Amino acid sequence: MNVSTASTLVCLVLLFPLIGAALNGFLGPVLGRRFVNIAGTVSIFASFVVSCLVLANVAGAPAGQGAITVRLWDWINLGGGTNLSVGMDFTLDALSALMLMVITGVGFLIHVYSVGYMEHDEGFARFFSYMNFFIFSMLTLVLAADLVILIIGWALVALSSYLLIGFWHDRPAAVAAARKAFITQVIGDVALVIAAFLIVLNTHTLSLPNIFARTQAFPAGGALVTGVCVLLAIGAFAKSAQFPLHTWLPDAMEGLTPVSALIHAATMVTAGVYLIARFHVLFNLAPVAEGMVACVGMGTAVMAGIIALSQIDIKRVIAYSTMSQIGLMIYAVGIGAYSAGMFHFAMHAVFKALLFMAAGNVIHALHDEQDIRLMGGLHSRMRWTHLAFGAGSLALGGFFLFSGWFSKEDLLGFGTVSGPGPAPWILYAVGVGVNVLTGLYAFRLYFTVFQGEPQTARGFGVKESGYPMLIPVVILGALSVVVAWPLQFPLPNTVHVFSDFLAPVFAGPQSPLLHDPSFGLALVGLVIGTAASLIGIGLAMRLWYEHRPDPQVVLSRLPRVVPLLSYNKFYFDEIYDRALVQPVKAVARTARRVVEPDVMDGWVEGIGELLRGFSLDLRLVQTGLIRDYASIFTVFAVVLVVVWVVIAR
Amino acid sequence: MLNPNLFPYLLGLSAFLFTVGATGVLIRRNPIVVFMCIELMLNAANVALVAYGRFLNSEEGQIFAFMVIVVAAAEVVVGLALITQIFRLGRELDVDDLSEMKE
Amino acid sequence: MTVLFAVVIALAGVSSLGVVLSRQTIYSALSLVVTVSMLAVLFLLLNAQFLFAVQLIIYAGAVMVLFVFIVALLSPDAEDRPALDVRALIGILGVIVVTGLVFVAARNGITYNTNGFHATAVGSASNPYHTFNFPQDAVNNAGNVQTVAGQLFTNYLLPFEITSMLLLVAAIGAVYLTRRSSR
Repeated sequence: MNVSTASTLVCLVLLFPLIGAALNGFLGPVLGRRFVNIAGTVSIFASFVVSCLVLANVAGAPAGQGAITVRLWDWINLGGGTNLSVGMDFTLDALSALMLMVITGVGFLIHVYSVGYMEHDEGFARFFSYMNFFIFSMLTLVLAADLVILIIGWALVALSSYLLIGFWHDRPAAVAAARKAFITQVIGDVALVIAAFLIVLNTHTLSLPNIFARTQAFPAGGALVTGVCVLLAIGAFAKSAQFPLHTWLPDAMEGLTPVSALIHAATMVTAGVYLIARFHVLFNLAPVAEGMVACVGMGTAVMAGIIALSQIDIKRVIAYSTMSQIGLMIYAVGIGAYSAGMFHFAMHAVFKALLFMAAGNVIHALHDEQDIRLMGGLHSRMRWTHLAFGAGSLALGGFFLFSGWFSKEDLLGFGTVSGPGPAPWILYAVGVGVNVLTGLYAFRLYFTVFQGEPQTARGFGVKESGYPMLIPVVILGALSVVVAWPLQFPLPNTVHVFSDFLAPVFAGPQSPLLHDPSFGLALVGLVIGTAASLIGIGLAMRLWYEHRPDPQVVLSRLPRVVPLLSYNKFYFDEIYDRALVQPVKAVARTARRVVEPDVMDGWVEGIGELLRGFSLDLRLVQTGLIRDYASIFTVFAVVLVVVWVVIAR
Repeated sequence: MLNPNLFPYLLGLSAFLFTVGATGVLIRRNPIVVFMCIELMLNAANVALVAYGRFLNSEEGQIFAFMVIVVAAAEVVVGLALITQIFRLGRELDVDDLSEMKE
Repeated sequence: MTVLFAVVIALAGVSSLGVVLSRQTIYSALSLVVTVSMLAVLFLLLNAQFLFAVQLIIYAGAVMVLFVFIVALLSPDAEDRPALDVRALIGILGVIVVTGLVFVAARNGITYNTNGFHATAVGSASNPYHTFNFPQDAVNNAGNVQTVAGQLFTNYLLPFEITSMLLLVAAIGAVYLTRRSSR
């Protein structure tokens, strides 16, 4: 692929969503619903086509020439001598091609879904404008080859998520959720920017390829690179809703379902995973940071799994499921299994978006009912949605031969060889436990929503959704079954198309890449993992489908702590409120009551008083008597003479 | 011809006359007397001018002093006319009383 | 010669004090006449004959007469005790400080050179008063009035004409200012 092709492709893939956003934003309300629907979806489809071209170019390039970084134009040119010029640099390599395909492909299907979803909403133009703008921001983020452009994309993504979560801005809950999301992500932004400062300080360049080439600036394992990686990780955690910056994701479910599908399943929350993968060169130099990342990832995975078991809002269950799965991805990139993590990202994007959209169908059909205790019996009444949801759940639960199985087992397989000592084995064991949990909560959801009998009168009269909302769901449902088959099999020396595709990105002189586990070890791991998933699914089936034993009985047998912690999301919101929010509010209150009137106003008025007093005193000079004025003249004349004579000496 | 050591005394006289006139402006209350003290100051300036002119061997000193005298004369005319008018208006001839410049 | 100077200077000083310190207005005026006349004599002694004449004619003869007339007209027996308050202190201080400084400065030969101020000790080689070579006094030998007039009507014509204008304006102004306002 030569420079001009690359430049064209990059331009096009970024331009289409941007134009779509502008058109819909400015002309949408004028030109009507049909125009907006077409413009919004076609722009993303066009980007998808370009992404396919990029993929073809990257995959078809001769070995070693798959990656290319193009500079579209110089943005900030600081002149000769400095390396701090910012150019519009974009990289096209296997990693960015993968991200492009997922973002634009799944994004396109979600846009089609939104056409149906927004049928009765007045703000459709604004919605599609924001969605297109989000796609644009996300693409900027993943294609960026310059630190500044990366950070800009990062921030624009946060902005888009704020706009989209708070789309129904007359709903206080939505607005609060949008604000919470944005503020939490700002914490990550700060960490990211500080990391960027440290990087620039030591490598004297802003261009990512140059940074990755100058790793001699970072002594391996040293405090500097560990600090940088920890900061980058914090940024990733904020974006990907990992502990401790995870509290915003469940609240973000106040947003529209397509928004949840796009942002909180497939794309934005995976930006953290992408960041760590992109900066793998640095992370490879900081094993301590990597270890921390792996621990946080797995910890979040298990915590989210536990919480998901007790939630009653259908979207929140899926949200915690997302948090858990991303925890697994973070764990994967933490132990160095970058392509396994990206593989799970791709599979997860497919089935999670599917689950969200199907949930949206259900909610819509039940006239905005989101409590799963009031659902049931939909398997016969919403056939296609039911089938797709089932497929997605099987993929999520890691059932044999569904897409999620391939990716999760691949991931866990690397867990067996992730390093010396007991710690990696503990994490691996927890990962297997997460498999059980995943099966449990996924199928709790499925059985409660679709099986059994309808719990409300409304449930008896549901109808299947219209085409725009149905077709993307079905397509993704089909994909979640088959898409992994040609790509990757979790045993060595079998199908490895995916990891081979990504290998050039993660290869290099500095990477102690995890080698594949040996065949025997991998097989054992595969069996254990699959067994765990099946146990989870089976347990769910017994509890929530066959109702033996009755889930309530089981619950009462558990120590009281467990359900309480689970239902209350481990009390994180309350802890943060007490520890962070209340003190800040108290400071603000003090400022308003004490500082503002006494200190600030005191100063301002004090200065006024001072001047007033001064001027009153000065006024006394103006006596009106000529003799007084003459005295002043005389005094100064004498002074002048004295000065003159003294100087002349 | 002329003892050069005289020069400091001439300048001293000029300074003396000037400052005495200034003191007069400060402490006298009758405007006419104030005017006279102003004339005293002008004369002091003339003394200095002529002294310099003499010792620098230039006639410019005298010329300048001449101009000063002319200006002083003109100023006296106008000033005394004003004082006359003030008197005619029945006001006190006291500079402290004529303090319209207050504030 | 020096004695003459001393007498004239002393008398001028004393009469100036009389101007300022006299209680009666008329005495101040008369003291001023004495001062002005002493200064005229001083000018004569300094070889400024033209100015001597001008001073006597205009200053002593016209300006002071005007003053005396006004005093007589307005308040012949006016009494004006000089106020001795803080302003008087300023004045006295000023007299002492400035006179002393100027005298001392002149003694140490502050030059009138435009190259800057330098102080040199009296009697030193660079003291202008000792080394200044008074050339053939062209100013004085050629007759004072002639020399002055020569400059006045050529190089200084413009100031001359303007001061004439000034006198005219002053005269008109005085006439205007003293109109009876009842007209």
